[in-house]
Amino acid sequence: MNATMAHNKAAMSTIDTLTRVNVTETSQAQLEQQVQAARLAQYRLAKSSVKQRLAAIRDVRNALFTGREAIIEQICLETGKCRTDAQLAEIMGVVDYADWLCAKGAGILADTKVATPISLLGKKSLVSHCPLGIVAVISPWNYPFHISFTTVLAALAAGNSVLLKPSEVTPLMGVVEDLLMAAPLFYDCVQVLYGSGDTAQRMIAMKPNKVMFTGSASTGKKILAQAAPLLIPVELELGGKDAMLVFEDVDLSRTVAGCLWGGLTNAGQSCTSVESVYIHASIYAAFVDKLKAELARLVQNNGDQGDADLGAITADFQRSIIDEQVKEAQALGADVFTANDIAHQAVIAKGEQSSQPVSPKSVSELAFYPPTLIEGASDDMSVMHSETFGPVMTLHAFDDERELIERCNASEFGLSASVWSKDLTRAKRVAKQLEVGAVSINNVMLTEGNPNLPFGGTKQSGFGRVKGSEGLLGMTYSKAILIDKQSKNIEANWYPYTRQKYQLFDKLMMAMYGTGLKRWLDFAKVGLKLESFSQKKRGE
Amino acid sequence: MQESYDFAIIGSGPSGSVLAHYLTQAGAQCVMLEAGKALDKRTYPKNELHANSQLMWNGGMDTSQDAQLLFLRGKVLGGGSVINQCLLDRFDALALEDWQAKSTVDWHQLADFERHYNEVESHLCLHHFTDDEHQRNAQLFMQGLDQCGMKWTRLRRGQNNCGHNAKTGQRNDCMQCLNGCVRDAKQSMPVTFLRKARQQGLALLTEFNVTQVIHGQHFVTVFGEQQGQPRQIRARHCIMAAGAIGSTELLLKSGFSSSLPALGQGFTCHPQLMNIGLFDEPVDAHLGTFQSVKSDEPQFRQQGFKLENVFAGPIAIAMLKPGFGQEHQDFMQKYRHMACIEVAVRDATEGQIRLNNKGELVIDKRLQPADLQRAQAGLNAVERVFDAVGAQSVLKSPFSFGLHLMGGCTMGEGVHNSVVNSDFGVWGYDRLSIADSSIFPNAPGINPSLTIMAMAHRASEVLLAKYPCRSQYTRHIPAQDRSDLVLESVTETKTVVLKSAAEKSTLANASAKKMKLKSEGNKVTTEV
Repeated sequence: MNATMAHNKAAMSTIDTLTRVNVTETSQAQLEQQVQAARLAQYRLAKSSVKQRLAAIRDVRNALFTGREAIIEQICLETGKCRTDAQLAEIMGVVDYADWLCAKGAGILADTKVATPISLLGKKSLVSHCPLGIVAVISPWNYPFHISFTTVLAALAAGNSVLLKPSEVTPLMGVVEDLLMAAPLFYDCVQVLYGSGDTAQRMIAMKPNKVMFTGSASTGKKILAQAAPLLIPVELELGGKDAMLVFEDVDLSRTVAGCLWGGLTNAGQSCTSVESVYIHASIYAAFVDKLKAELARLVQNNGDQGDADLGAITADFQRSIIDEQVKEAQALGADVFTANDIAHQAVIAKGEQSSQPVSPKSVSELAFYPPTLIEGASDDMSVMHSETFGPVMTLHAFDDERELIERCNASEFGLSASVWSKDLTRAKRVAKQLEVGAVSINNVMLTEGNPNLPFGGTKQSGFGRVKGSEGLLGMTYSKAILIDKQSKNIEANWYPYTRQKYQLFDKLMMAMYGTGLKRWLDFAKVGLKLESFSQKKRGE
Repeated sequence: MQESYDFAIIGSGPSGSVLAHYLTQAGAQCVMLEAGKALDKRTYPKNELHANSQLMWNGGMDTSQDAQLLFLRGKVLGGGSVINQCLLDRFDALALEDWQAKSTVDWHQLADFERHYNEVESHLCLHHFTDDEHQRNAQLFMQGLDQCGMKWTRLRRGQNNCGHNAKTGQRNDCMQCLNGCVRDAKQSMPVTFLRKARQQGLALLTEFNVTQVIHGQHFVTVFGEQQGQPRQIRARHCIMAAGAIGSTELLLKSGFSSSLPALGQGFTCHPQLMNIGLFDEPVDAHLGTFQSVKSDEPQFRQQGFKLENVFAGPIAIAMLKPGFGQEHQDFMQKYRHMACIEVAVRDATEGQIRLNNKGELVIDKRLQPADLQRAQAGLNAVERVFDAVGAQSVLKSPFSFGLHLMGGCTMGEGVHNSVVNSDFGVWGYDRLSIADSSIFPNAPGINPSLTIMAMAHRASEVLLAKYPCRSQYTRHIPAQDRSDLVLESVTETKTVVLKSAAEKSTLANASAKKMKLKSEGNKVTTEV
């Protein structure tokens, strides 16, 4: 990381609005040049061994670790996150994943020997994991560094070049490029294309070998539509409406604390953050009381030194979505509770009008959406069926396990869920029935904490998996290889076809697929006969 | 519920209240957070024991690590101004020269302070004691000094009709002014600056114990508990005015020490030793104006101490006499026969305020040979004075009180030697200022209260130059008042973006000047 550069950016960005980054679209000429560079670099990279690539990833990881505070600083400036959110999710998560790649990558990407059936006696089989070529990554603004960089590292480990199109809201200009300078092997392999959806479209038109998209369902559909006629495979990590299921036998303090973090981490701007909480009716009142009390202790700020619990809402349009959902719920009769009231609401509540237009300072403060709890939300409210992506949770009481599962599975989304109960048999039973890509039991959003586990959703939450061996192999195509020896032998199934061979194959099948132990004896006999028949020319 | 303000002021003593006055006067929306209760002349405790327990932190029993010093600090609306004697002296050239030698701050000089002293004094009722107000304790003190050839002078106090009447001989037992003045005569904050600030719309939250300050990019979160409930306040800027120990402790507990190496350093407290002289005749030192004279001996000033006549309630006096039983009872029976002179030491060695491994506050303040030498010189002088006027015996104080708590967040040049810069800003934290006695570079040897107020006035000017004066939040300011508040070209954004400190200070000075010019029409401002 270029420290001086980061410093200058910081000084410039101290202006008091959160929308402070202006990104110009990558021009078509520039884009074509970058794609060409990526292609050439990939030819070179494909010749390297996995071991060499993982050694290079180790160097990048070390550069990241050394420069972590400067990166945290830039992430905080562009996202408005509180510092600890940036530290844990963006830095620790990425270093952890890089270490996992270095430890497990070679094993996962090595050729896999597979069994060869007895009918193919004397031959060997293996699967080779080949780089796709160019992987296009379209990354979101909520975890701009984590999602970009872990995908880039996985793609590189597998021998691909990457076209990275970061969100125009949080481009983190130069961060990825600077980090990769630590590894000359990856020279030119990662091309960052700055710009909006327009740049992303032109990038896909360049026919990368795969598109990895993380973002909203509506954008995901557009990408899929563009990729379909080009026959480009697409993986979509889309939104969620994740549920937290709380049974009656939980420890209240731990579960309430987990609920707060699960719903409010990154100010709720996580695809897997808790949006609906289902609490067993027998503890509903006690749970909600405690939740409300604890909410008052949360500190919302950014630019902090690590003491703030929640940061800002990064994108202004997202704040509008959140606010609309909450207001609609309130209008339709739900009870809305916020511990923190923001400035302009306080003004409105007091019935006082500011005599001056709202200054940029106040605008930036509006980006701090107060943590909000909603009781009595009904299915006709968008807060119940659309992703909120903010520090808002709806609270519901339930009585029956089966009904609860049906209710959860009725959701169009299927990203993740959490199940809370001392009874692990019940918790596992419920977990297996939920139609989601990940379930944490007695914890929340923790499957993402284990790089061995795959990450991805079902239904409207998308398809494909990142992370884990599945995610890493998703950066490759599988090449099947069968190895036979050189000899004079002619294979039985090769020409010429004859009536005798037909009858012998019939006997062979009876031996192979029939029953009884005697068939193995028959198999050997028929096999030998076929073998000798196979060496004969037609008419011999 | 989280409220947003332009300024959050932590502490309601002489610093916080003066700031609150000038900031609210300029139209800023301010909130003041006070850990103590809002008491007034009707509800102030009526005896010494309750005074300690209800008006002071830790019941007035904060001690130094070696337990040789007892620190008294106010925990009540008005802070130290409620429990002090309200002796309002300006600093002399020596005090400020010593400050500047340590701080290298250019305005740490008498000429620069004069304007601020004049300004804050114009809001206070100041009283020079006259000869007919001196009671017997003072008379003995003056006689003794005269006989020893030592100079003395009358004290100046902030008071407005104390109810003493020399002609009729009516005298109040006015030691109770140390428990909160029961007749609103003492010029403590609740009847002076704080009263005005509240009239100007100051939001006041009492029994609000601030436990953490969280500095952010756009605002500061002040977190604490009010009557057991968590509560937090947001402000564009936060001003710490919780006193030397309070402000330092809050910053330490909020984790600022990692970026502020000098935090907690430079703690001083003017150790005071109360010495009792027993006389055959009744002295009745508790009646009337119980403190009215101080030494004015250049030699004492150079030696680092001063003497004052003083007295205290029976609990404090009882603490001065070691032992118990009959001997102690005999001593206390002579309460009316006691004269009392205190030695106030200008301490030369700095202590340190820090947290121990458990996160608890430790005040490491040991009197070193240099301090003990100063104290001994003072005690020798007291002995001579008492001898000269025929005291039966003299009881020297076995321990010291720390009443003037200073330092811990000293003002100076650079983050390694100080905590705040010459503009009261905490190094590296754009939205945090400190304006109380914790920023004193060293011990002045003069009662600090008036100077705290003067510096708070200066701090208010700096802040109003930095921020647009008009509140963005709620308060409606009448148009005619607004014209002189708007600083046309100076916006906060521009101030923040400036890279070099030099540019910044030029701008701040420019806007300060502009403000002065603009306010001339409405308000009396003394130009230097």
